[in-house]
Amino acid sequence: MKYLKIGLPLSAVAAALLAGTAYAHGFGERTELPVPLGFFLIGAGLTVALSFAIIGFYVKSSSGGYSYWRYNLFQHQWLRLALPSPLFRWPLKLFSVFLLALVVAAGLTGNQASSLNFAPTFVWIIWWVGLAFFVALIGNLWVLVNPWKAVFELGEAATRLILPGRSPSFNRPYPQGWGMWPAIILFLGFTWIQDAFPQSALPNRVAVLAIAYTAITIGGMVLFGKHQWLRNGEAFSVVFSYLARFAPTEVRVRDPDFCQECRGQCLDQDGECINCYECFEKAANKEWNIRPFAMGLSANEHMTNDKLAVVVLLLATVTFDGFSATSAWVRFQSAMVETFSGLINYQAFNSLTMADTLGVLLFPVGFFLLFFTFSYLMSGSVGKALGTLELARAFAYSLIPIALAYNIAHFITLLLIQGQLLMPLVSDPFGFGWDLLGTADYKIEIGVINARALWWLSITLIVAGHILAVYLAHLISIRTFSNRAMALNSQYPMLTLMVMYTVVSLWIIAQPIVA
Amino acid sequence: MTSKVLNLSISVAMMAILAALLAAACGGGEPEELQIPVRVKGETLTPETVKVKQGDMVTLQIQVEESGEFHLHGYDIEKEIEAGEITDFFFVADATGRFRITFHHSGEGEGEHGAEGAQQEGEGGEKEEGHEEGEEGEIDIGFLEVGPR
Repeated sequence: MKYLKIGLPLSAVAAALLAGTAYAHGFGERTELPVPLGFFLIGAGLTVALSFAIIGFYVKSSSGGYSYWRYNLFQHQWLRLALPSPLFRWPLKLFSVFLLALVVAAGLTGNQASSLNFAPTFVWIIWWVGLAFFVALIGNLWVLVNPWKAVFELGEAATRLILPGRSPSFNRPYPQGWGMWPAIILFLGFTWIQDAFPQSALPNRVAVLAIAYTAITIGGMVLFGKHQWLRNGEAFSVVFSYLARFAPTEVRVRDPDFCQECRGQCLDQDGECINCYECFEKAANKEWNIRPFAMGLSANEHMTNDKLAVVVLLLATVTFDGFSATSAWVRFQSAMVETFSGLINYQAFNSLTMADTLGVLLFPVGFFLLFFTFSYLMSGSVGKALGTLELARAFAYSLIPIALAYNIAHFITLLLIQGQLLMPLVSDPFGFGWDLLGTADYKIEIGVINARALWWLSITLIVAGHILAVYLAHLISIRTFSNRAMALNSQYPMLTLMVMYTVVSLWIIAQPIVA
Repeated sequence: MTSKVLNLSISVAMMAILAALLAAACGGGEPEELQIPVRVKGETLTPETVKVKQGDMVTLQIQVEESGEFHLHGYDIEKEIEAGEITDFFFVADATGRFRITFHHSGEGEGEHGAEGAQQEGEGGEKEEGHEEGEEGEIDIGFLEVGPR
């Protein structure tokens, strides 16, 4: 391999700098074929047809209650004992801290060729794509493996030993008005690194960013307390908690009074205490449930502007990551290059970066304006019974299944193919030519998923996500409007928006990846 | 009105499913032996996208203006190509997908590579659009698309 000949770290750094924009998403080579026109049309046709079929069905059906099916895994005693047990939790936490340390060590001291170093593959593909899939499709593993939380808990344990009665946190009151905005700003920064920063695949940069984020997160927990910061400032705890609302598992505190006392805001407006991890840890009377997909998004939560902002940012980010690899975006980039090439001439922030930065910032704004416009139409369709922003907040969660389904279709090939890089990398994380586990010579199998199977999977997922979205919007409309006619009328603008979003998602996967 | 909407949407859905079955049915056929002449001119491959089907036994007959290394990503096959002669590049297209093809001009050994990288660092903004230099000085020249059979 040519890579191995690069002896001088300096030349490797230079090469990786040049690699820059070769990766549309953080790091990893995309190899999927675009979905052919026929499949796109089938997907789009089904989306429109099924939307009307579902609406027609609602017109006929009577609105029932809306509690969903649940199966409590804690009725099995061994699970009830195992899940909260330190014997189960601590090995997971320590392993996670070890992985964070390995990312930092490999990134700082290892080979700087991206594909020979553990840090870029682990962070961008296994953790960011893989863990997001796990959280959305199985459950919120992040709560158990968050390495920053684990480091802080180690600090708590040490403090208990050395200075009994003291806390490692100042527990300063968290400013009320901040809400989840610190997490939103940090996540926007992360999005910029993923989609615009030209050095996102460089091991050294991955390590430095991991160190910086560790400092911010530990600092936040020390200042405001562990739970306060995890809930409001730790970007990934916040983002994963939204993906986990889609997941087919939930944790629940049975006793509303206990939840009220532990943390009032955890209770939703139906008096349920779902996925409130800090109360769950302390509660005696609790459930770990299997539930249908997406039902966590139907919970009657008190909706605030920061929650709306998280959702809009998630929706926009997911779409931009795909859109930025289409030729439409590359044409825009070229125009930007012509406009800005004389002005900005620094390698780490050239005119291509400028174009991507604009995309990262303007996509969420554009999404919000679009959603706001349709919420305005919705407000009009119910005779202004509810305000535009109020409706936008109420219906925001219903769009998440479309974004998730698209995200899976968009990333599954990357995860299945580039994810295999983990095999050689666990044996040689620093790229020094080691073979710790005997897997260093593993060669990536590029034929693991056939294109036709992938096309079917992609359009099936996206259409299924659309149906779930329409169903959620229906549940929300019944809850929001006292009057049946209003509930139905409100759904036409929402349905139009959903069809648009779904068809745009299908269109993106029908574009060849050019970036 | 509602039953009409319902009927209409059911029939549209049926048509979509029918179209889907048709789409699934087409394709097929036996793998072929293909000889495809390609040419590297400047920074582009002609044709820019080589299209074959899964299972095809493909021989690219490569012609270049300057000697260098031809690299098919994914399949991860590399071959030195001399200027002025036609070189056969054989592979069996057993995996579907869209794979990058890059070219690495020879005469840029590792020794010069660092210096070249440092020089490039200063003039990043002037890179020619569409053709970005990849890892270790490779130039993206085109794609191989292997469609399902």
